[in-house]
Amino acid sequence: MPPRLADKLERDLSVGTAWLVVLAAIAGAEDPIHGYEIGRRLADEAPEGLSFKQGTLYPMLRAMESDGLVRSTLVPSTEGPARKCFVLTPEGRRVLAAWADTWRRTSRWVNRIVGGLDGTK
Amino acid sequence: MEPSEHDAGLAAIRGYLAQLGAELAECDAALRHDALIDAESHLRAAVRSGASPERAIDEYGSPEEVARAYRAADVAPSPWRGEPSGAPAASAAHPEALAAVADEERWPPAAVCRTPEERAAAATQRAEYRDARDRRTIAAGESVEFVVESDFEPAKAVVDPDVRTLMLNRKLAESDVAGITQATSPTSAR
Repeated sequence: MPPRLADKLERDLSVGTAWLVVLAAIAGAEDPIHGYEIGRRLADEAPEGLSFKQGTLYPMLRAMESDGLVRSTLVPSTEGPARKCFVLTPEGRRVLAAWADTWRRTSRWVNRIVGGLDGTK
Repeated sequence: MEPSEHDAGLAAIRGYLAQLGAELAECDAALRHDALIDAESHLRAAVRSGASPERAIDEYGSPEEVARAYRAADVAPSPWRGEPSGAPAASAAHPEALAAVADEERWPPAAVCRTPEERAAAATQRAEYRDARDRRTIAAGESVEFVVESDFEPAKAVVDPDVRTLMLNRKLAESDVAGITQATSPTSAR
């Protein structure tokens, strides 16, 4: 397999699903969640071999806040700068619900097509 | 005295922040400030959770790739900047402070803070900063015109001068000031 194709699907999927999983991670937290905890959760749940640099999470959160999907609050810390924690806005919840539905429909379609392959033909 | 492991860890984080700041030197000061705060807060949290500074930095990403991600995600300027009659970026559903401000920046330039004293200085507004305020409720997409009187010549108008809700992309909360008229004293800014 040409090297440029080796991880093409993985890279394309990462780009396409990054905002979805970050929104879902925020939605799954009971309290406003810090970027570190979002990154930890994504890393802990990531399939083997899939990695991402956690520093790239913050520009994504910044863009999400600019788009009105998340809202940040500063939580004072005694050990450094105040921690910026995130919650979904009502618009963020609407977008997440719509995207989750898109993901479920897409994954069902892909599974129907790809799931029948046995890899030997 | 030999530096402790804790001190060495902090030194590694400080070194990383300096490199990240250098990578973002050409970027907007607010973006650079946010990036440094994000990184420091994340790396401290990682070390508090038991990761070594080196591992925390490796998982965070090199200064080059993190800076590249910030530059790629930087939001384009809002169309209302410099056009007070256009659509504002504010979307507050509660009363929001509006202010005409003198030309000086309110806060010192972003810098890596190594000590509590440096952090306190970074959080202290510049003595030259001055503003004159009004208070309005702005709906999403709504444009407002406000008039305030000041005893200084205003240079720009800002939404949320206390940075209570609009913390990121502060440039989006600024507009030029039009229709400045000088009374006997003080001046009015529209």
